[in-house]
Amino acid sequence: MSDSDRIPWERDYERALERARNEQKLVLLDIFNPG
Amino acid sequence: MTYPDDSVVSAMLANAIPLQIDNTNKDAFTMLHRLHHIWTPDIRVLDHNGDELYRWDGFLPPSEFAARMLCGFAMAHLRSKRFEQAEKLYVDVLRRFPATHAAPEAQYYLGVARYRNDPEGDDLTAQWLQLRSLYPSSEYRLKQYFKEQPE
Repeated sequence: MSDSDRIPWERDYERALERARNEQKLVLLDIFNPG
Repeated sequence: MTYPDDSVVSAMLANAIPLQIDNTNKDAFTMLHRLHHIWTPDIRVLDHNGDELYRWDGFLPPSEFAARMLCGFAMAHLRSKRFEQAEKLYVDVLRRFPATHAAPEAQYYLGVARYRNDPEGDDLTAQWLQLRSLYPSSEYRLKQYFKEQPE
């Protein structure tokens, strides 16, 4: 099983911040290179 | 990036919204410039305002990654003055990942979290004594070295 299957990644920065605000959580940002 | 075992994924999802950004995506270039991105993997812990509270670059094997991530969440709570949440995560690092490179950081800041939560307590000294004993060669031992000097 890939990480993408196990982890529901957000791809939109602003939406992640909004969810963090609403759910009273932090944001774990992973900037990656697909190569 | 390999995210390790299910318990770590659970800890991630309990504490944070996971956000991935592809650094080859042209739509993200402006934001990546603003974030001073330079290397991958580039991991940040942000609050809901986008303020960065912890970061590291570079690959880590699973147990090191897990411990570093938990230290990142703990530091984010500590900097936000949520001392009991920080303490809980540092204790978790020391219980589950005592041999990792992140463990001395957890030992050091466990004392700080408890001190900031209760300045009248004596747990800063106790945790730093433990640090000296368990991680004598770590950078964090140096950071408390002034406590080892004679009065």
